[in-house]
Amino acid sequence: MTIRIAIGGLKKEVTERVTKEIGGDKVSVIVTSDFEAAKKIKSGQADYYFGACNSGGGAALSVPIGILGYSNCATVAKAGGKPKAEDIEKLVAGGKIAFGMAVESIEAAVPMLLHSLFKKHNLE
Amino acid sequence: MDDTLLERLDILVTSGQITDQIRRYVLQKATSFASEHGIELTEGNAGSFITHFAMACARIGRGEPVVEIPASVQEVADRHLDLVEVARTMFPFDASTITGAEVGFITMYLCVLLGRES
Repeated sequence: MTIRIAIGGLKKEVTERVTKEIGGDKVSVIVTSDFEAAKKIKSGQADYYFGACNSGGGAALSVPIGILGYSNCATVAKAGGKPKAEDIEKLVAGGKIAFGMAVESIEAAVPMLLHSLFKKHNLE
Repeated sequence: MDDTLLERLDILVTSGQITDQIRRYVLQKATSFASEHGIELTEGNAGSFITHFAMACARIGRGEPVVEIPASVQEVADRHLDLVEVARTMFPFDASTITGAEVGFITMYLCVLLGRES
């Protein structure tokens, strides 16, 4: 199985690089906008969304929330905060499919997200 | 203005994240700024800005402004103090309710729109 990840928001190139470095052949990456990414998930063309914004306060995730619903989305790191692996694991296990983060947390949050996704999908 | 930008705002209204009043205000302010500076608002140059601006208006209106700002964004704002003053007047709220972080984020987006920063 390959996990299909749609990447949107700001600093997409950083999110893409980290996702590919950590994910290797376990992931396929689609780099697009938050808007198109959410639509791809809704139509079954992607499995998960990773998106970053400067504040982590909603802009990276607000359009996906509008398209996919609050219950499917979660912010994993706000500006000034640090992502926590155990929290991310709970969110992934709980069925969240769209994840927002502050740009400064991309390098820390994306590996945590991927490891949680690999665990969930038995790809470790 | 790209239809996608309008669709973004419609989605935020429909999902209850912003009010129609904010939608109209953001459209008016963004269009006015773009017109003043001879910029065409597209999904590419303004998608993130429009979404951020709308959500910022909503959270400031709720009394929940962001207070943390990454150093990299603050550095951009510090390089463009003229736009800091413009950003401060973008919000439909009393200046005392708007944090430096919220002003800094908008400043950065205005810089990008004007091509001053990438």
